[in-house]
Amino acid sequence: MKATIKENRELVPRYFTMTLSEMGDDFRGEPGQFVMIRGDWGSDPLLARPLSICRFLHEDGQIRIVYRVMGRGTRRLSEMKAGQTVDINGPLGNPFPRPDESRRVLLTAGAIGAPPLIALAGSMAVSPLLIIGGRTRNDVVFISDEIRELDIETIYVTEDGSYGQKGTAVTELARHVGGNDLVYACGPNRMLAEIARLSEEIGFEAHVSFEERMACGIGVCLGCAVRHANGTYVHVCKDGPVFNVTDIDWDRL
Amino acid sequence: MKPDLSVEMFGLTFKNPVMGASGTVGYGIELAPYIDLGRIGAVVTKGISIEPRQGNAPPRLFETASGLLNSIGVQNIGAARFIAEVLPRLEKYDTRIIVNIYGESIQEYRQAAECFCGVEGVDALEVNLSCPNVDKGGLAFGTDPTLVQTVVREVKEASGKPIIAKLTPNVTDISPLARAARDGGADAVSLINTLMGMAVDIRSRGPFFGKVKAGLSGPAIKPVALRLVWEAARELDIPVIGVGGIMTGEDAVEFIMAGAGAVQVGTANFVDPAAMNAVVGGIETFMEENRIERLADIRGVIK
Ligand SMILES: Cc1cc2nc3c(=O)[nH]c(=O)nc-3n(C[C@H](O)[C@H](O)[C@H](O)COP(=O)(O)OP(=O)(O)OC[C@H]3O[C@@H](n4cnc5c(N)ncnc54)[C@H](O)[C@@H]3O)c2cc1C
Ligand SMILES: Cc1cc2nc3c(=O)[nH]c(=O)nc-3n(C[C@H](O)[C@H](O)[C@H](O)COP(=O)(O)O)c2cc1C
Ligand code: FES
Repeated sequence: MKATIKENRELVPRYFTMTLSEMGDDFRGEPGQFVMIRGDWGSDPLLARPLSICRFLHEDGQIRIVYRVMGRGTRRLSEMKAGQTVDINGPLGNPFPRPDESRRVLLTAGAIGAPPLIALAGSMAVSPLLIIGGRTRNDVVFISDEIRELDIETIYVTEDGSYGQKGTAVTELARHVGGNDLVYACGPNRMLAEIARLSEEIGFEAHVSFEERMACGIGVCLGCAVRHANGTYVHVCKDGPVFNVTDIDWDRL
Repeated sequence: MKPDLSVEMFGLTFKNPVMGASGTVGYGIELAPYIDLGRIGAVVTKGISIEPRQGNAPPRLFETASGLLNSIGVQNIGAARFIAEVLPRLEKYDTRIIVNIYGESIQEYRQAAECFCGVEGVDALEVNLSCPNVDKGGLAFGTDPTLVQTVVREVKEASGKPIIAKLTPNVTDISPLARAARDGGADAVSLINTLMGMAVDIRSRGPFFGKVKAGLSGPAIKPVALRLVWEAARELDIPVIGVGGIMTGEDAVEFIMAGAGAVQVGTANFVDPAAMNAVVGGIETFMEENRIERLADIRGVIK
């Protein structure tokens, strides 16, 4: 499917927001799902890149993604201009299980892990508590426009103390979370593994959106394998990207 | 007049020369939401072994300049489950079904082929000759003409199906291997499988893949694939199926001009799940624009 870039703007150095329009009436995604996206730039880079859907702007037939420039693919994406088109395949993967809003819901984001959690917060009637952690100021404030727009109660944490609390998203989560809470998280694997350990210790239920390199995004290449707790391989694009923390073999990532 | 894209090979008619390459279309059914399977010539399943295989530990993918390195390790559900659970669903589509088989010894190839003996709905077997031979320290079967001939003869005898021998490009001269496949009774050969490559992680000062080596595919390998297809086609009187880096109808036409009877599309399916329909459309457009009535008029024009 072709989508038109409505806006592609740098938020803070390396972090971009891209709004895509004319998504078509049958585009009906849910929080936690992602798209494979690619510009018309020939064969290098070759593969589309997986990016989570950050906002569903259904009324306008738009979606928004927020991304960080990591390498060649995201750099090319960042150079694209409003009015140009991109190829989109999606929505793909399994969404976050709908939160039981009678429980306290905590969202834990490691920097660029925030986008799918913003989508989840946007779908909830009661504001959850969002904890966003990163190395330094820019790694947490890039998403503050969305947070303000959706009026999400947020704790900012930075490792160098340049913005919000000093510490990490996980140390902050540990201070707030209780055994009956429901936790949703997305961020580096290291952070997710720590949350898995914490959940075992404290007993809270946790669902994480997991990242692995992808080629197809639709379950045909079998490239995005991750080891399930039961010893078999599951595939992030088809069986995930959202997993219950108890599903993953965190010791053998 | 509409150009005729149909192809005759080993007594079967294929509605066009475009097939989904093994390992890039799953078991075929996974692509049904994206393409009209009835508009492609054939689906080649991912490699199927007698017993299910878990595949390699991640990471399994690494993108290179216009290419892709993979180390999947032929993860599959095994022949029995494929026949019981997947084949009935795949058979509903109006396309030819070719099963790619994997073995690590002559015995394993034979047993895998036997599983498909008399199985209706399977039109042909494609034998992956890039498999490591455990009896020879993991050297690929496809590098030894005697082994190629033996494997092809065994699987043909065991299955009673037309056999496509899928050759490995990781050899110094393809000609003796192509001849060996023919002498073993192959009804066609397909090439190329992935080229062996590797990637280095300079931060950890180690190999990127657990198994160090990985298979390179995609547009980066197309010139090598074309050359090998041309060489094999000059050598053989059985059909040669061209594979390697085909992204468009024009790429496919290049292979046909180099002597290919049909083509397979692999990595392009990852970039665009509808790629094969576009390749069929591209061939058709090229033929119309150049007033080519049938593929035979351009096949092997490069002598
Ligand atoms: C389901 C899913 C959702 C994602 N959502 C977002 C999102 O909303 N916003 C965002 O900015 N990023 C997201 N990512 C990560 C994003 O896909 C990668 O950062 C991107 O593919 C890198 O491409 P590149 O060409 O820029 O970098 P490359 O040149 O491919 O690589 C640059 C660096 O990124 C690392 N890398 C590459 N691919 C991945 C990957 N899939 N996972 C982890 N590390 C990788 C490499 O190891 C390398 O160090 C998501 C990934 C997945 C699997
Ligand atoms: C992820 C992946 C898995 C593959 N699995 C198999 C396989 O199981 N058996 C096989 O014979 N070839 C396999 N191949 C090789 C392809 O069928 C094809 O020969 C090769 O990728 C070159 O074509 P391409 O450049 O169009 O991808 C695989 C290729 C890729 C990229
Ligand atoms: S990315 Fe291809 S199977 Fe998941």
